[in-house]
Amino acid sequence: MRTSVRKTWKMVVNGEFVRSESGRTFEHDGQQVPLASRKDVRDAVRAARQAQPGWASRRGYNRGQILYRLAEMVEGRLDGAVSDRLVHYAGWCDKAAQVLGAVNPVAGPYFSFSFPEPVGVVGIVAPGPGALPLATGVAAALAGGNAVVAYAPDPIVGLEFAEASVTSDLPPGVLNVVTGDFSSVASHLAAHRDVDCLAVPAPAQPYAEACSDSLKRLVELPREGWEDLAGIGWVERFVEIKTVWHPVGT
Amino acid sequence: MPSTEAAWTYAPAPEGRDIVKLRQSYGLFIDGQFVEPTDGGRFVTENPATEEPLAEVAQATAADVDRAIAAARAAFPAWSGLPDLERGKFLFRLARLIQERARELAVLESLDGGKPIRESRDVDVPLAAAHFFYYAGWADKLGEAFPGRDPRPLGVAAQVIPWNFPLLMAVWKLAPALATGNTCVLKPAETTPLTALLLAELVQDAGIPPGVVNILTGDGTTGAALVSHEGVDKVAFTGSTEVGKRIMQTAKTRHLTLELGGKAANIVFEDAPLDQAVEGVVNGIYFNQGHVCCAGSRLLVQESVAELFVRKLAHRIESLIVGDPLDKNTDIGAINSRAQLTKIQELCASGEEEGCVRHESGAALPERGHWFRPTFFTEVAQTHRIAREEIFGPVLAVMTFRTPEEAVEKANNTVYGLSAGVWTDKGSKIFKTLGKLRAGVVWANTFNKFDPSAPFGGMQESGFGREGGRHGLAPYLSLGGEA
Repeated sequence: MRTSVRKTWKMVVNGEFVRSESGRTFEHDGQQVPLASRKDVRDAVRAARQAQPGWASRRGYNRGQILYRLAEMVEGRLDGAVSDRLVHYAGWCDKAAQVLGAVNPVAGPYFSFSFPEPVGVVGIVAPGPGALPLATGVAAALAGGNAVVAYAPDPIVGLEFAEASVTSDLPPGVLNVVTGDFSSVASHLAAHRDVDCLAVPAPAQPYAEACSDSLKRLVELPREGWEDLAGIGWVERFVEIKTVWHPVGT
Repeated sequence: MPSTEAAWTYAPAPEGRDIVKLRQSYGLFIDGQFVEPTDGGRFVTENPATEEPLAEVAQATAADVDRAIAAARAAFPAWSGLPDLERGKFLFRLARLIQERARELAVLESLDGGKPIRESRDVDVPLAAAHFFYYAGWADKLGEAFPGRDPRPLGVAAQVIPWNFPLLMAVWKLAPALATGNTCVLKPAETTPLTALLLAELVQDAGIPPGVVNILTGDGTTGAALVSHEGVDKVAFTGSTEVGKRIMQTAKTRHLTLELGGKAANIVFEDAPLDQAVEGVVNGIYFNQGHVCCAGSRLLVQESVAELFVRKLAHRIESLIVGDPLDKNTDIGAINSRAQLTKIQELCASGEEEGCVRHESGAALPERGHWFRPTFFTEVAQTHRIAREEIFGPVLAVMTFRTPEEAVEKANNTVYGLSAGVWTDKGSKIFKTLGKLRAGVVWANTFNKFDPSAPFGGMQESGFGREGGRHGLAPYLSLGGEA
């Protein structure tokens, strides 16, 4: 009879496995999981902010390769629907601009075009159960070139997902995953001025006041139905559209 | 004139060829297996750099074409009926298999086709993997690519490809066809069948169901039987304009993609960064021995800088290394076949007869194999054959112009319309000029750029239909309820 080696569950911040700086944990399914503090959330936002320009500067093709690698690492660790969802968004990385962008037939002698750019640092407070809503929001935000601070509602599968991300080619800080109390993490993210966009489970209205302070984009995530909630729509919520004008000689 | 002596020499740096395990003889890939051709016919594919035989491949007959199309037809319902993401995941696997066997594919491509290993390694094979990766991702997004248009696959696609980018052209054909749910019968070129046959093995390894991809080797008769077959719903061809016209007459389906010849103009304005432009012009015409349909085979340089530009060009081609395709220093490899070499020589002779001035590098050539030095002609008139006909070799026709209007007029003075280049520091001039060029692809201050996400294809007698990008899906789909 072998005695199993139990895993210490840790959050992922800046590519590293960390306990809460507060030293607090909470019990989930008989296991101790880190209880993120306001400072943990702040550290995660700082890491995301630092990593975001580098991630955004990678071409869509490269981001797609990395998300696909993440799908490879998730395969077998979590439900197959999660790796399938990552494959789906790996494909959007180099295609989102072709669906969301446009050449604008302006009346004057100008070449005008519009294309998506990442909104920046995205907080994703996913609904449960399981990792599918979390993976969908994270993958869509990453596909758009954002860095993410994610809250895992179902902490064990959420941290499995986070572990897989550390073993993929995702650069440190691009995806940070915290666990703990839903409403306190959501409130910390809503109040943080360096978070550009916050996605929370419906209803999002309670976070509107905090988000309005810095005009943070507020995205509402459905509570259920995530099996069928893929698609470009989620990428679209995590990008801005930039329009460029250039004269055409006459 | 600058010295023709190289400032330094390079020690040989040959890539090992052991990684390639050639079989003595290859069958046809039909219904997921390698099978014998019905009449047992074979032909030899050689290494154009040494003229040594590499392997025997099967000559597919009309009966083999029937078999392959029947296999593709039988595989179509299940393949097109797969959930879209599941179909896409097979193509992601294929992209990964190409990445994993990249070195082997690159060496084989250079052995069979003669292109420099640096190009097969850094261009052909990575682009092939990227192309599958890109179209794999479209498989489950067709509704978003064509909203409200009910995209559906056409059925069986007959695809015939040329010898200049053997693996890459195979992938350009297969990836969008498969992603959209079609099944395929592909015929690689007679002189370069080997990487397509290795790709067939990767199709097996990826677990793609039998009959979804069929690969028939053979000569022009095989291709003619394939593209004129009653049982195909789509024909895609890359090759000469002459054959493209014949296919348009004989194909039984109106779903056609024809990517044909070109005679692209590279327009260099006096305000262009000249050294960059020289590099672009050199890349435009000498890349892949000039065996490129979109090659910048005509240079239009503004009169005020023409003399300087030609001097820089003459100097630059002296440092191009011609020789062993497997040597990592090589810039210009072997001409693909004896027949192609003869055609290039014949056209260059016509240039001299018509009074053009020939400039070529002093590069030493290997004794065996098919070789041609980087060459350009000055004193070329628009009526000369070398200014009108596609040479498909490392030969550039240099002409001059005074005004932007003249440049555009000369650039458009061709039956073709595949690509063009514009070199100037002024953005507004780029946009003004490109708007007037009759070409499917225009490169500004760069040349010969390819990406899976960017549509490619020609206007006029360079053919129709686009490959690459979102637009590259449409030729393989029925959209908006059309038949």
